[in-house]
Amino acid sequence: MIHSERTIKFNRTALAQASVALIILLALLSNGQLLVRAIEPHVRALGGPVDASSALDAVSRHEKRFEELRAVLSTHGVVGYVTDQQDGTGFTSQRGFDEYVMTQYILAPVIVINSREPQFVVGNFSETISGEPRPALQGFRLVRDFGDGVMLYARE
Amino acid sequence: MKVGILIAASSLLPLLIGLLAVLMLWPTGPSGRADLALKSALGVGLGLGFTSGLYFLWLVVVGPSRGFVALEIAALVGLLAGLIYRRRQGPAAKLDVATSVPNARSVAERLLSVPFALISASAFVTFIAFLVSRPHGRWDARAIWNMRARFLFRGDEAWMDAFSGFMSWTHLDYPLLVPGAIARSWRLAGSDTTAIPALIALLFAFATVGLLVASLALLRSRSQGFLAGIVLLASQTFIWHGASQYADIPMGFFVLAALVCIVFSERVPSGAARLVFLAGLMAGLAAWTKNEGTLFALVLVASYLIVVARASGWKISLRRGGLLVAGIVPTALLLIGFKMWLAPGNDLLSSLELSSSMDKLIDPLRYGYVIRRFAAQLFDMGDWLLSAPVILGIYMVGAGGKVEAVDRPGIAAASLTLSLLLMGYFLVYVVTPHELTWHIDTSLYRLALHVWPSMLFVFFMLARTPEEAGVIKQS
Repeated sequence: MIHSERTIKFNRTALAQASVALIILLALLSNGQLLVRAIEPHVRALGGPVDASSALDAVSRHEKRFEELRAVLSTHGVVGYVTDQQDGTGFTSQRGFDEYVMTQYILAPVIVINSREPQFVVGNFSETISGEPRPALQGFRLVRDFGDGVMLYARE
Repeated sequence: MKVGILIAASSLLPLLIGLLAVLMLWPTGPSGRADLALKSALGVGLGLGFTSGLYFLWLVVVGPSRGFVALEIAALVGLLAGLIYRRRQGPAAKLDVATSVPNARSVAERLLSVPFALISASAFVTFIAFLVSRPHGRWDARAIWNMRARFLFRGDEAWMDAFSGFMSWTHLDYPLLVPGAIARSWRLAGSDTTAIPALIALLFAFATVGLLVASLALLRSRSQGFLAGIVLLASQTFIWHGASQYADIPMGFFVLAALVCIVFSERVPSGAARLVFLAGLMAGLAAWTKNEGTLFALVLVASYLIVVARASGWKISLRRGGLLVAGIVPTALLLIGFKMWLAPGNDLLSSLELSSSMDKLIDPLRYGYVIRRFAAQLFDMGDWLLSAPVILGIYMVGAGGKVEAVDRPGIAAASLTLSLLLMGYFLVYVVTPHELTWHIDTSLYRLALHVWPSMLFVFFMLARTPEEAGVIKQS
C-alpha cells in the first residue's frame, strides 16, 4: 500500500515535471516561430533591392497614392467612389472591398461612399487605365488625374 | 523631435493618473517588484480608459481643443493630494498576501525566471516587428478603431461625422475607449502619427501580461506567475492580435483586471470596498471598450451577487454588489449617452427578428455546430504548436489543485463570470442574424482573447505551484 502511494506520488510529480518542461519547450518554439514570421519581411527587405515604395505595407502604399488627392479634398463632406474592381452588383473581389476600406481610412474625415451619387467621385483604378475616364462615368468630368490610377471626377 | 516629446508626454499623463488612482484605492501591503508591477499594470488600463472617456466628454461638451489636458492635470493633482491625505490618515486596510510559498527566492522561481525573460524579450521584439510591418494595424484597426480615431481627430468641428449613417459597415455603435484614447493623444501631440495607436496596443498587451504575472506572484508564488506569463506570451494569437491593434486585447485586459480585483478584495480582512469598487471601474471600462464588455459587466455583477450571497448572505452581497455597480456607473452613463445620442443601433440587435430567433433557438443543428466550434476553439486556445489547454490539463493532473480558503469566493465569482460570458457569446451565435459559419469564422478567435488571460489566471489560482508540486526540488 505504501509502495503504491509512493509510486503514484512519484508519477504525479514526474508528470508535473514533464508538463512544466513541455510548457517551456513549446512556449519557446511557439514564440520562436512567431518571431521568425515577424522579422522575416524585415530580413528580406534588408537583402532586397532598395525601393522605398516596395518596402511599405499595403496601407502606406495606398496612402502614398492618395496623398495628393487628400490634400485637395475639403476637410469634411461626402464623396463617391468608383473602381474597376466592381460591377453593377458590388465589389468583384475581396481586394476591391479592401481597397475601398483603405480609401475611406486614408481620406477620413471625408466620408467615402461606394456610389456615384455625390457631386465629387474618387476614382481608384488599375494603373493601366490612368488618364482615361471610364465609359461608365458618363455625366462626370475628370477634375484631375493624380497618377497611379487615382482620379477625381465632378458631376457635369 | 517635438512630436516625439509630445507623444511621450501625452502617454505619460494617463499612466500617472491611472497609477495614482490605483494607489488611492489599493490597500497597503507588502511592497516589492510584483506589487509595483501589479499597480502599474492596473494603472495603464485605468488611466487610458479614464482619459479616453474624459476626452470624449470634452469633445461633446466643449469641442475639439487641447483644453482637456487642464482637466487631466487637475485630476492628477487631485489624486496626488488625496493620496498624501490618505497616507497621513494612518494605515489603510491591509492586504493579506501571504503566499503559499516562502518569499525567499525558490529554485523553481530562479529556474522559471530565465525562460520567462527569454520569452518576454522575444515576444517584445515580435510585437515591435509586427507593428513596424503594419503600422496602421490590420483589418479591424483600420476599418473600425483607428479610422474612428481619425474622424475624431481630423474631423475637428465635424467630428460627429464619425457616426454618419453612410458608414454603417464600420459598426458605428462600437464603444470608443480605443479610438478615444488614440484621438486624445493625437490631439495633444498635434499629429496623427501611427506611433500612438501602436504604443497603446503595446501598453495594453504587456500590461495584461504584467497583471497576470504580478497578481499570481502575489497570490500564489512568483514561479506560478512566471509559468502563467510564459503560457500567455507564447500564445501566438495574443501577440499577433495585440500588434494588429485590435480592441480585443484591451477588452481581455479589463476582464482580467476586474477579476483580479475581485479575488484580491477577499484578501482584505478589514473590508473589500475599495477593491470591489475598482473592479467595477474596470468592468465599466470593458463596456467602454467593446459591446461584449456590457455583457461582461452584467454577468460580473450577477456572479458576484450570487457568490457573496452564498458565502455571506444577501445583506452583505447587496452591499458589496452596490459598490461594484457604483464603479460601473460612471462609464455606464457615458456609454448610455453615446448609444442614445450618437451611435445608431447595433447591427446584430437591429437585425434580430423574434420568430426567426425562436426558430434558431430550438434548432439542435445550430447548437451542435456552435458547440463543435467552441470545443475546437477551446482546444486551440492561444494557438500553440500543441494544444495549450491539454498541456495545462496534464500539469493539473500532475501537480494537483489547491485553493486557499480565502480565495474561494473570488475564484468562484471569476469562474462563474467567465462561464456566463461564454454562454452569452454562445447564445449570440445561436441566434445570430448573420450566416453562422461566417460569423464564427470571423469573430470567435477574437472573442477567445477576451477570456484567455483570465482563464489562465483562474487556472493558476487553482493549480498547485511548481514548489508545492515538487516539480523542482528545493535546495
